Amino acid sequence: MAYESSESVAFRQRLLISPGERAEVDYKSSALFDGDDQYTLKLIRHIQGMANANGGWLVIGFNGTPPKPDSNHTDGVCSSYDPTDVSKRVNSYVARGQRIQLTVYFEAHPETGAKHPIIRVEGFDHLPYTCRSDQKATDTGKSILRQGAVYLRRPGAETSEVSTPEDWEDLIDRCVRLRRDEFLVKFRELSERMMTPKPPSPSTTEELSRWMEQMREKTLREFEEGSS
Amino acid sequence: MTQDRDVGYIEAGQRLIQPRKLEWNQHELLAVAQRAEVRNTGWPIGLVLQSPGLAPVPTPEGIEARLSRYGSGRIEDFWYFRKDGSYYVSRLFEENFETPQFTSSEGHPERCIWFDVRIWRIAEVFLHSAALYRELGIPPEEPYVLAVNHRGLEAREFYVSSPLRDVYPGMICHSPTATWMMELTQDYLTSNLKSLIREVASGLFVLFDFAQISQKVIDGIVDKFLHSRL
Repeated sequence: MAYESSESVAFRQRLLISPGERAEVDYKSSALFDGDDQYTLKLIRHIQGMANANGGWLVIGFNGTPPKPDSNHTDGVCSSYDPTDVSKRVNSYVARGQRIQLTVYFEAHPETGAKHPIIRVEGFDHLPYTCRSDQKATDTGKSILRQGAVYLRRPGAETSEVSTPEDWEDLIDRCVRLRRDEFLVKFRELSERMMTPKPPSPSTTEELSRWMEQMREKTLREFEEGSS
Repeated sequence: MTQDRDVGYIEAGQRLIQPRKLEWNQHELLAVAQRAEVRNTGWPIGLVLQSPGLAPVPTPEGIEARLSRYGSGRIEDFWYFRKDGSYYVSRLFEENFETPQFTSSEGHPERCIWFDVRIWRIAEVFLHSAALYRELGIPPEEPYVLAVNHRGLEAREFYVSSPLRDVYPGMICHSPTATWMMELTQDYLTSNLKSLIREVASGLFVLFDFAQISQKVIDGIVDKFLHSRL
């Protein structure tokens, strides 16, 4: 695991204090998550691409290289990233039956005091996510999402459709690894079941013992009649 | 509780860990009991006979059977199959009434256990317990508790049924019972049959002045049982 402490506040604080484009962490400029404008649709596409890679983090309210806190960032922008709404909107653009797991944190920058939405995107666990529908940006008219496309985040924070043999190899490798892990977990569970039985639970043991004693009472007299 | 110092018998009880929502009716229990017979011996544990007086009878809680092997009217086997899937079986030691196959120069102890026969019975109890739940449709990974007890052991001598095997004479049991209980599954039982049999058998044998039978001998007897088909 790249970020074992990823759930901790300390890690999220580090994302704000020492920003930098790196594997699994991307920084995005400050804009409302609202409607079907180009920014929102691109963010959704990026989340799909990130989920089809290995998952990762999106920090909102930073721009430039290296990323610095965006001067346009406001609390109003921050509050547009309501976790329920973000999740609902993101998942309305993946194939039916699929669901991208994501968590939105709101972390205050220790120097500026501004709150930044930080989105944790989980990688897929079975099948890559597929875009459900075509969508053009309402503000620019550009086509951002394409039905049936499988987006992939690449190093350098670029996200585009899976198209090259290398992309497919990357994706297939990930699927194979996940299936292998899934198999190993099942195999380990089976082995544990077969190799390490638990001691009997007290209630079942007591009930069985009590019942066996009743049965013993019932039969012993009959046994005694003909035995020595 | 009736004193059982003199009556020697093996008993086994089993119960599912998760109580069943649906109970089985008496017809289903009878059919399952018939299918679950382990036919490695002529008189298997949990035998289902058709003859009047020996056939299972329904009770409000399940079905039960009393069996007499030699037509003497003496009950030697008893089993009870409850609607929640719990099962109890007890069988008198054959050592109590069967004629020994041999007598040494020192004679055959009157009150004894035959360790080779005990191994067969333990093996039967294990296989039958799994067969019952398999036939009830219980998934092979579903846990249940199985108890295997030997009672009426006190003052019995450790012996053997066959002249082909030797035991040291004079090993006497000073305890009335040997008990064993474990939570297991059909899968676990099938995969670990021999080690389970060794565990129960060794726990019984040790009570006879520390009697020990090697793994090789126990496994050999189990193999013979498993290859026996009647």
